[in-house]
Amino acid sequence: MLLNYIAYRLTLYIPTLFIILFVVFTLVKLLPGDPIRVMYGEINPPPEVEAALREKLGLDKPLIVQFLLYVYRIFTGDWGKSIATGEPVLELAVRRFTATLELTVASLAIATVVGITLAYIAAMKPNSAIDRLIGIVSMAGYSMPVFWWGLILILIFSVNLKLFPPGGREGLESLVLPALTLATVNFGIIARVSRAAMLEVSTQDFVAAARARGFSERRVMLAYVMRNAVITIVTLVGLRFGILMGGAVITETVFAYPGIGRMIVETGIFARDYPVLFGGVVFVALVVMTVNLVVDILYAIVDPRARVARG
Amino acid sequence: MAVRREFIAAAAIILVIILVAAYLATRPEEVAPAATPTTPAQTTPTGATATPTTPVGTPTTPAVKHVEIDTLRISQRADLSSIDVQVATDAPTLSVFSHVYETLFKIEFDEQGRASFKPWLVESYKQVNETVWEFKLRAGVKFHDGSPLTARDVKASFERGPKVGGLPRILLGPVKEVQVVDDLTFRLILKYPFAPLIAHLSHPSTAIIPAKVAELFPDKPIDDIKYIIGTGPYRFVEFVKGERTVLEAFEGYWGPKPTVKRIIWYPVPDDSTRVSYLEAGRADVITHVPPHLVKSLKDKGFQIVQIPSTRVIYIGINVERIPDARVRQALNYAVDKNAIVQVVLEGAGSVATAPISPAVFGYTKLDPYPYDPERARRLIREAGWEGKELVFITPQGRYLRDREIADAIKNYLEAIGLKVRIEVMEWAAYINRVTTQKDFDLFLLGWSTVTLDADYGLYSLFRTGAPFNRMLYSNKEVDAYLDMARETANPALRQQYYALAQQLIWKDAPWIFLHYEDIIVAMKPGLVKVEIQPIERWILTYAMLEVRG
Repeated sequence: MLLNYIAYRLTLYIPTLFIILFVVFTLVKLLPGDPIRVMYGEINPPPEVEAALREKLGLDKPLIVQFLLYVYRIFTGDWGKSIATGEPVLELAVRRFTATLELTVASLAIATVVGITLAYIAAMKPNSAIDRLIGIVSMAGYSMPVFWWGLILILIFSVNLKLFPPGGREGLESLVLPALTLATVNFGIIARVSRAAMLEVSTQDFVAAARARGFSERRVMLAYVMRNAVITIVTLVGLRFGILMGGAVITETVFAYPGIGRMIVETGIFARDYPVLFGGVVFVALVVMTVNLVVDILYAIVDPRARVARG
Repeated sequence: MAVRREFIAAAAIILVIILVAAYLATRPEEVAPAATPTTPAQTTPTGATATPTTPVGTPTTPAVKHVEIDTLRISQRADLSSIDVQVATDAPTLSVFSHVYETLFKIEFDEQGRASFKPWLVESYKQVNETVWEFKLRAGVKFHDGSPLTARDVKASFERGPKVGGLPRILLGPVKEVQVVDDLTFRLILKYPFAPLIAHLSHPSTAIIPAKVAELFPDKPIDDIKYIIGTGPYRFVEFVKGERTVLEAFEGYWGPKPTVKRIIWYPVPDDSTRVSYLEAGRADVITHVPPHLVKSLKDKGFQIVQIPSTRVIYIGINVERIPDARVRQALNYAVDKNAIVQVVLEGAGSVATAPISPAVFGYTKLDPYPYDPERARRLIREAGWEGKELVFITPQGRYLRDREIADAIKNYLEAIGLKVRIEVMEWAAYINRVTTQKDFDLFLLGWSTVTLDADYGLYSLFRTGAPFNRMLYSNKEVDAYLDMARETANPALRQQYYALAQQLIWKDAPWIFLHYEDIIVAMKPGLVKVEIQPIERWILTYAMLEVRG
């Protein structure tokens, strides 16, 4: 059953990827501007250089040929080289993505632990003062503008207290401030949604039945309510994970953190380094799709109904 | 109801956090580092410190001594844009490469910031006739890979440069042929007499690369950092895009031994974060300091160097769409340049007094168009241009406060009875449009005369049909002066031609002449002999730390 479901999901994977490639390709083609011109600043590049590069990038061929060539290269692992620095794009994407992954895992770990704990406390006593307070704190967290909050953390912990570096990526300590910044934004959402999920589950008959059997409130909450609320929470954390994988561009910029989001925006888009842009976006798309797939499979494991529904 | 209450409470919490954080963040105490000098030393703007005497340095007072530096960390706004010195055109990249590569001549600045050119890789040279120059290379110069510098490397560099790079193409444009005479001697055969030759040979885009690298990449940019091989005081050892670039002193360097062993360059795009790098002690030098943070950095004891750059910011006027000089003059009268410098730039610039900067040879001081909206309105009326709509395109984030400058100008022009439609574009799309299309009336650009010779700032921009004459401006008289100035060897005569050309350009007004941008660099206290050049180049090779006691 489970295997069937996984197979079914995998068959959706390929067409989705193809659609993504097509959209990325089309959007990039619609971008005005040119990598060589950007590299040369206010100066005009020599026409031979432009022509040679165009040929090398295949920009002189018909669009459909360019697209097929591009798909072919993606699938054969030839992701090209950065126009500006000659670095192989796949290597570059993997390195930058590792940085993003570290940041994502660190921030989501903090956000999930804090978020679920708060949700649990809030759901124990709905509509109490403590529930309200948690609600307020959560809302404050996810309403915080990241670029501002990031700078404030830098000023307090880096400039004044000299505890953590203000940016860059050298050792674990440079992960602390950007992870905290992203965690601030995410724990609130996780807390709010988890609380709602727990409350919804606790109105179900089987919870009332558990209570009627005289189980302790703690046991009811953990074994019955949480177990079922986890489905929603896994889905949400998976979604947030997917979003963060695309790179938290603003946070990465504030902390001069070399994540994949900044690579796509600064090198790919601003400098029109097409191989980097294509490679970065496709890489992220692949990862997000894979994460979603894993989340759905997890979902099917946690909640047997999900597999049954697909037959 | 509960949701709304929570919302208000959340807003209140954010507000409280903002206030507390703002308080914490701006607390003045405990910031001044230990070695703060009693008076924040205003370092000599242009350094002129290229020749350190001894490694230990000469103490100015018995109590102060200069010590060498193991690792110096500098944070620039941008990362390397290219790893090929002949391709790169931007200041952050060329600053890094100025430590790795060397040119035949070297720019030096005097106390006033005036440039002169000193033979560098070249030991001696003579002009054989109008179009033939002979150079003799310094003996004993080695590349980082150990191979000796020869005339063949010069030939290979000069032949490859124009094939891969826009800057070498301009700078070496007049060179017809490089003739190798012997190992150390070569001749440059020019297409026409070309006076600014020496200035051009001091620009990093004409730096000498090994012949074997040139042969490996004859017509495309180099694609691996292992080919970054120069003769300069530093070897290029590491480049992690978006993270850092590391240079290490080259043991076999022929010139004065560097006093800094390692230089690490960190690209930090966000202005505030870059300032935090300095404050948190993670960088020793930061560039592109935002003007509004200058005072607070000074108050905290950091050194600030603020000098005018050679970059002039202008609004180009499409002369084909606005052929009437009266209208173009009106645009100049309509704009209060002083207010833009004082308010929009917060003082980080100075009003332009010529199309090129005062540091450039050939500069002629002219009177800026006064702010006179009455006169502007009258000229617009006379020309019958009232109520016309102008399309004004501008980049955002390329130059200091570019977008804000454009907004200010729009307001000034609307005040004299024109309509202005601003189109803000991201740089890549913008430069493409400015270069390939002419469907606009006004455009904002900057130009830095990096050769420090007027030829590069005037000929390339104002001569009929010149590559960067994006205004499509044409004045036969100006053309004649610019042609004569580039072919005449006599400096006094050249100066005169440039003066005449600039006066004509000023009157024809193919630009709204705006301002020269300032360079603002901040350093930790005690750091000396960092050379900040007006061409947006920072040389750290001979930096030292001033220690008391």
